[in-house]
Amino acid sequence: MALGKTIYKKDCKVAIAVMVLAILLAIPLGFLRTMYRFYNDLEQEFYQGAYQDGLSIQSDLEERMLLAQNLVTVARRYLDAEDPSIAQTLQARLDLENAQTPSEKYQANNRLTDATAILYETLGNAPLSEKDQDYRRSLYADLLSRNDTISHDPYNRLALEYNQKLDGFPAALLAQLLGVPKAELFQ
Amino acid sequence: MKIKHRLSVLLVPVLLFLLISPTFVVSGVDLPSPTQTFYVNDFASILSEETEDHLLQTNDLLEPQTGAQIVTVTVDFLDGLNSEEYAYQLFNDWGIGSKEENNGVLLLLSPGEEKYWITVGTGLEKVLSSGTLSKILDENRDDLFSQQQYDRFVTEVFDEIAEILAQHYHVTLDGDAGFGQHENSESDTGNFVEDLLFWIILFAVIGLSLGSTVLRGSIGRRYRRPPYPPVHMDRRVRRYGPGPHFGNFGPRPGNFGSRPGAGFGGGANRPVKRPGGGSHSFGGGARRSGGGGRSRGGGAGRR
Repeated sequence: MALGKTIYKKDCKVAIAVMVLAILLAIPLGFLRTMYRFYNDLEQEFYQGAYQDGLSIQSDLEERMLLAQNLVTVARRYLDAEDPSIAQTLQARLDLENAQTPSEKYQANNRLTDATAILYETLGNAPLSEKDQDYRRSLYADLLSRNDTISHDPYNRLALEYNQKLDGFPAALLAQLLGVPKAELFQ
Repeated sequence: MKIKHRLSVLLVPVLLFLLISPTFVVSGVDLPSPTQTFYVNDFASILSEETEDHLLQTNDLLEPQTGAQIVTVTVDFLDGLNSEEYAYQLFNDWGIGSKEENNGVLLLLSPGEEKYWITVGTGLEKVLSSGTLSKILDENRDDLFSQQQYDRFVTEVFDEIAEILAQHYHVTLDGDAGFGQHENSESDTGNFVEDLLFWIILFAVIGLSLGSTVLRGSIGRRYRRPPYPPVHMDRRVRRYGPGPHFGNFGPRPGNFGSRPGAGFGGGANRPVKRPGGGSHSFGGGARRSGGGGRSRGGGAGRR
């Protein structure tokens, strides 16, 4: 009887220990799973758009690269191939193409904006044909418009929300222990 | 018991506060609500009645066939925003265009700030790109705005956009809205005469039928009038019959021959102020609303 009681007490202790361990493991695992899903959604939003329809910051950046290339094509008919405004635009376009993170893409996009603005002004002084004048204006209007749609994209707001979740306790501690990354803003 | 009573008394103001607290959230911009007509919202009072009618009529032809809406809004000032930002917020607040196609267009004018902007739904970003819009808003049109020729500015811009949409959706804006048929347009005078003739014949037939019934009652079967030839009434009735694009039908005062292309017997385009389907009610001043479309912003104009 005494032996039975001892075994029972020992089993209880083991069971409680296992339960506590399970709970302690579940918390970080659950946290990891939730934050991973959130992070994944963020990435999807950047590349596929808030409505998963392909209209996203990334698609707008790609559109801007294409438009910049087309503007250079028009410019080459009237400006010297070595013209700095053309070279600057091509370099900025290449930088954007090679950019990996949201922050890098943001910086590269800004440089592209500046470069295409200079190219647009330079072309304005060239004796363009009526057709090329139309191209110049419409390409530039499209370039600016893509920046407008990027500015309205909810990515940054969602990224901030994600980062705020990681700032609270005990999330901040768990994030540090488990290596959960913060989201990079497009800025 | 006393504690419970005190607690429940305290709960009431707390609940009330929670209920009304969303109203304390400041939206930032005081956006106007759409007018009953929805398509035309001349808050700055710069458009004539003729222009407004034209915009309404064209939209009433366009929307039933395509779900697209071209909404014109004039406001005195933009509440501290630039015209692009204001247009973006207004577009999404009103849900212009259909939810499925996101094919709305917003033409915003702010004469007080000498700005204007056109923005489109996500479904029209390729059809009406900023490049295309900037071509529509060329120097000549810009001059019209600068010279405060707002009616002409709006009409020309609107017509060009409507034409592009009609081509994109392969519909016409001068014929049978509900059935997508294409008819040759006729002169306004010809339409008026034909429409008038139709109603005269209709009333004559009704009047004579009633008269003959009365006569038959009083003098028996001695007089038997010949059957009247079936005129275009049947075709007209069929077109006016229940269909996906028309609601109530019936003559509207002052509506005779008001639309180019409304041929005699081609009466399907007559009830053009009665859009059917969706969230819309019927014409004659009935309330219209947005279809739930959304925009990502962008566009063209004077920022």
